[in-house]
Amino acid sequence: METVTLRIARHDPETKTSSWAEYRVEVREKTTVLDCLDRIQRTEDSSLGFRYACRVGMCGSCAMVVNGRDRWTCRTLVRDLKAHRITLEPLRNMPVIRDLAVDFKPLWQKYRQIQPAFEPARGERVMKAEARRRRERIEPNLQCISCGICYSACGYVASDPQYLGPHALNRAFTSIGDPRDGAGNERLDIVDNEHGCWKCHVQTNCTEMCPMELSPSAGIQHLKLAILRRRMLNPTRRKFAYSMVGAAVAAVSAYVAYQPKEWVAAGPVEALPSDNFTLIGKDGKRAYVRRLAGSEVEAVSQRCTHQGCRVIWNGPAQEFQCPCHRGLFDSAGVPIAGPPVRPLERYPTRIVSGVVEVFLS
Amino acid sequence: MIGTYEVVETDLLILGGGGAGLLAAIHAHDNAPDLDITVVVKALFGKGGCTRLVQGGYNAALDAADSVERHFEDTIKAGSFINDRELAWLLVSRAPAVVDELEKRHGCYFDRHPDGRIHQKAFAGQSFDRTVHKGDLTGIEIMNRLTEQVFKRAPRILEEHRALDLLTDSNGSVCGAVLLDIRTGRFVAVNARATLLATGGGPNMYRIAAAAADKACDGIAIGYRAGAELMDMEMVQFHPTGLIAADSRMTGTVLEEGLRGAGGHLFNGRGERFMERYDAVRLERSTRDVVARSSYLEIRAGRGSPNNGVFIDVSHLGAEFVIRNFPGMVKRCSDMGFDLARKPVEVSPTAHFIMGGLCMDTETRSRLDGLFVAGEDAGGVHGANRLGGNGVAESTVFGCVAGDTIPSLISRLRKVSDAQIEQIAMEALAPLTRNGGESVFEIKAEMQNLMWDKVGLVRNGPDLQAAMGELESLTERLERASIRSFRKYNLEWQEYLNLKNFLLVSRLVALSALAREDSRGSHYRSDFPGANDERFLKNVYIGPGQKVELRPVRERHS
Ligand SMILES: Cc1cc2nc3c(=O)[nH]c(=O)nc-3n(C[C@H](O)[C@H](O)[C@H](O)COP(=O)(O)OP(=O)(O)OC[C@H]3O[C@@H](n4cnc5c(N)ncnc54)[C@H](O)[C@@H]3O)c2cc1C
Ligand code: SF4
Ligand code: FES
Repeated sequence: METVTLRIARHDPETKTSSWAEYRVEVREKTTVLDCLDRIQRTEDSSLGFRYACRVGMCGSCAMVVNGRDRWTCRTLVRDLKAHRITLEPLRNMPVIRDLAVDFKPLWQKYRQIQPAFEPARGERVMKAEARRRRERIEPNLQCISCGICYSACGYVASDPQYLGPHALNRAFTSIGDPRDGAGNERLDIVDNEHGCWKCHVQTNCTEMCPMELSPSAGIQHLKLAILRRRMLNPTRRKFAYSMVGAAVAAVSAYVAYQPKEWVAAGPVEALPSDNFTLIGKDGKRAYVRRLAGSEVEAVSQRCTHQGCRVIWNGPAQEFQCPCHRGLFDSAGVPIAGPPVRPLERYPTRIVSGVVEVFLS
Repeated sequence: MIGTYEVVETDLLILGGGGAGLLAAIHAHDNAPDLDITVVVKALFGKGGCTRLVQGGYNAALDAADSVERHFEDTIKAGSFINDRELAWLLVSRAPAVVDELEKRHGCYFDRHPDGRIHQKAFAGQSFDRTVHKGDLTGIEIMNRLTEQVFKRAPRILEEHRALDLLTDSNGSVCGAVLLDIRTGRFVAVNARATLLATGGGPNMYRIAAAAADKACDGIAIGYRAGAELMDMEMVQFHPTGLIAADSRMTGTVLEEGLRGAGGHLFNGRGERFMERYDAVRLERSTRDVVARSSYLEIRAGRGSPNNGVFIDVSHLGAEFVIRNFPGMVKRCSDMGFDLARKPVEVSPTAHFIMGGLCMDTETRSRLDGLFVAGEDAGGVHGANRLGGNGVAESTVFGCVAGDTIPSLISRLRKVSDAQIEQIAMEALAPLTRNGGESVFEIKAEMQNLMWDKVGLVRNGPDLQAAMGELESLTERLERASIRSFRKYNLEWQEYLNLKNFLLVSRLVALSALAREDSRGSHYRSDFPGANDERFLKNVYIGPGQKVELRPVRERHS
């Protein structure tokens, strides 16, 4: 048994004030983040506001930002966070009701905009083998629990309140891709604009964070391709403006979104500096790595949490700098200036017979 | 004192947004597009309740080699022959059409054989593999698609609103309900021409329980307080395989029945396959009541696993098979540090489902004028024990029935009384104005232990009597409990209101359990260990004033 400190962002709707509160909770091997909140509520502070229903990863009610990362708390063991201080904040991009409970209204509003309800296609009743194969493409994206994590983690949602966002667009993809559905064209019209799928520049936060292991970003790239295909077949249907650039973006981004996660070797431990970050990996898969005390290694993402540009390590200043909108992060990856609000993502690391490996996507 | 409250007038008020509530809304709208419909959900819309938690799947006789008659027989047998025959028949005979509707009208898509037929898997206690499913997380698919269909029909949706009590006119007819908006702490009085209770029961008054946390037997308590008659309240189902994860809230969540259906074994702490001693023929594939009770008896006899459970072991089926067929279960276990595909995992019986509930007829009418009921809130369909896979079948079938019949049975709007609204609100507010009382969480923990120990899987007369007394005193303590006095999103207040309903329903369970002096299905009396058909091939009814009555089972079905 050990003790962790929970630092909780509190908001009181009665007085409309926000503050931080700290609680110490004893945790065991099977204590989840949600269990900590449950315990605080029962024994220490019954006014704490948070939400859960299924407590087993099926309802998507319990998500919040845990040490900077959006997670479902009912399935997150405290011990897996490997931290003694845990900061809890409500999901972003949605209004807070009390403390850690948010109002999902914006999420559902956008979901409703894409007309998610199944519209049976006329005539087609039997699923032929061909249609079933087409359906297989959408299968991996179907079990969305509307937890709001992708919507909260998406930088484009933060910068464009009208952006439909990964949750709604993912459903647009699965409904358009359903061979039994007959309203695909109408939905493509809805998502084919600057606040629809074209807003996404494949930051892939959604895919990285989705607890159900869906890939909304891949779904969005499929939407782009479907739109382009439709334009090629029928160029008069819409302005041609996006098409060629769009095709390139879509092809590249679909590829990027499909890069599977894998362990990438980063050289022998001793070769890594401990006072400086080095860039490892190649192509789309890169990370900054450095050695900590002893033989511990940490790996930080190169992707700026604002809009996904690549950050650059400035050794003398001990800062990560983002060239796009002048975001600054300290050496721990915590934002210190500019538009970014959340820390740089960290990747898991391991050492296999002296060689450092980083789990990269 | 109670503050201003909002008044809403509506044609059909649906309390609860699980399978039953949503399908009732969809069907009622499609039958009568001008109907003004209001759907009230205590949790976030689309998220609360147990239809979403359906893992294993949905029973329907679809295969040419299967038949509705066989499904009926299995259902009645599992229910120890006290199911209402008409309701059970309605369930099995309509289930195939509802599965078809879920796919063709609402866009669900269940797992398939390579030739395109719907795949049906093995569940326990059935003579045919008839459980339709979507992997091992079927409820997500069903709820996602139904939620969208409801959005499309755009009824009034009140989420994070809880029904407190029904409104009745001077003749006792139901004419709406008083709600509490959990976010603002304000009351809403809904005046409705018809009211459907579909809050999904939920036996969370036990120490180890499986239902979604938003469920608190509210519908049953609300209906009973308004004067509705209940039946079979002693019949509480325990699922045999609730995960044990130390003191985590994850404890009690269900590892799906398909694991046993596929051939999983259960072992006690000594490594014995104990089901051989309790049901040598069906073994682990015996019905839930038998398997859950057997596990409980093993644990009680000191032959349990280290954490007071038994082990479920599916490793002999091959890790690859388990991972392919039960990915949701495997992932869930692995998040908690268990390796389901390769190692035994500790499980315990967990309170899962209430077979009892409000009496209803084949048109979902309760015994109160203006009040309808569907889903887990209703009684009679499952008798003494529900078959796995018949729960979501019930909520969806009877949701459809409610939506089809209510529009033609709806009456005129009756006037609600301000005094009644205010009284309901005042009662809800009482604990906010008290000081120095004890914590509701303490009372809840005591109730859960009491119910588990004395009104649980194995019962006896003296324990039940003692439990009645203790529940009484817990109720008195609750009446003195105080909570912090703010109104907006006050979860402690919600817990108080939950407890009020839990304690009432717990008393009704204990009372019915005392009345049934035999053992049948989920109800087991160690002082009357056998079934006594002569006296108890009957249903136990509870009416107003806690009047208990035994009446013969309704036999007719055409
Ligand atoms: C873990 C688990 C697994 C299951 N697996 C299966 C399975 O594989 N197969 C099967 O057939 N059955 C299964 N069941 C049973 C099945 O889920 C239920 O029988 C069925 O879903 C109940 O549907 P319902 O519509 O009656 O209620 P629910 O789906 O539970 O919905 C209840 C609704 O009422 C709302 N509510 C509650 N109280 C109030 C109030 N006071 N005011 C307003 N709203 C309120 C809730 O928020 C919720 O929206 C399972 C149950 C559980 C708990
Ligand atoms: S796509 Fe994933 S992260 Fe987004 S809402 Fe659905 S389950 Fe949550
Ligand atoms: S409580 Fe349902 S997903 Fe966590």
